[in-house]
Amino acid sequence: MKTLKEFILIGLVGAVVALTFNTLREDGLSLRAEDLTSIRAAGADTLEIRAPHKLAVIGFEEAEALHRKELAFFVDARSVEKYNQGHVPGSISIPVDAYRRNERSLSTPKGFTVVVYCDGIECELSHDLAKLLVRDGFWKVRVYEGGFEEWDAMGMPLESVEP
Amino acid sequence: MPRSTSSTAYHPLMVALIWSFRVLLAGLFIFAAVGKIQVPHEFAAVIRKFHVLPRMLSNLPAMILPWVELLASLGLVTGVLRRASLAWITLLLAVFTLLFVRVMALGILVDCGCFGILQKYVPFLAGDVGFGTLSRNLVLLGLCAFLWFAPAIQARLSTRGAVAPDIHR
Repeated sequence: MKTLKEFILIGLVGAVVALTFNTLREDGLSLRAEDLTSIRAAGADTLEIRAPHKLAVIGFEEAEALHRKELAFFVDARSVEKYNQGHVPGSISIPVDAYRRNERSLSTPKGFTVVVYCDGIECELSHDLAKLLVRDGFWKVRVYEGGFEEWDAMGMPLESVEP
Repeated sequence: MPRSTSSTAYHPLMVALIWSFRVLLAGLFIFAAVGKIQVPHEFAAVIRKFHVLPRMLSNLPAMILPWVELLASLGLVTGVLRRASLAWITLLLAVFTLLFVRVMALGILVDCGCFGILQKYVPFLAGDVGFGTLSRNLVLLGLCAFLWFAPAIQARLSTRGAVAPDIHR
């Protein structure tokens, strides 16, 4: 019984510390994660209000065309480790958390088309980063939802970083 | 964590094993917790990939679990609330292991996200969920089991005449 009380105590203290720390940190999580529908709706609504017609979700064909014609700057929103293992050629690594902490930034002109991607259709790191980029004044942000998984599955070339 | 009676005295080898396992488990969990606390959004994304919680609830464990891991690890290594701390470590390991089995059964490729941003320093312990990460967890669960059953193991040793000062009193 004593152990059970102590067990609950550790859980409660952990939760209180976690919630306090999360509230104080700049890159804290929201208590309720948004569902994908609302994230996409936010991409279509709130972002377009701030930057009309500058953000869109794109599919493989458009991403491939932008990449082939070198009309866009590709940004990988996943962790550095995943980026090192394989990424879209020419893309740069800007993990969302690192961007939130100002450890990584995007130095392209604000009007240049930026394509953000992460793992794939169920990953929303690209949406998170796209929102932040739009907040910071980038006009033409595109989210490539198929992401790395689709790019790889379509047999497109990849780049990796040697350790 | 073994809670010995006054009649239980630990063999020096048992003392060494108990402390080694406590330090090893606590060290790994502190490392993992610190790595995950630094990248909450990435850890939340990993949790969502396991598809075990409703999406809207997925941020809560990403927020709270690393801190519970940290507190439990500190408790395990310092001896403060050590049984409850070991219970948390064991429970977390068991849950993670079951999740790994489920993901492997479903054939989903998921980065285990076990060490967060510090994963790059322990590539041999991290990576995608698979037999490697599953084996690692089973070994760690074995260490937990040893710590839980240390008094019983010691009792067997004692019947053979090996005794030493009790470090758990």
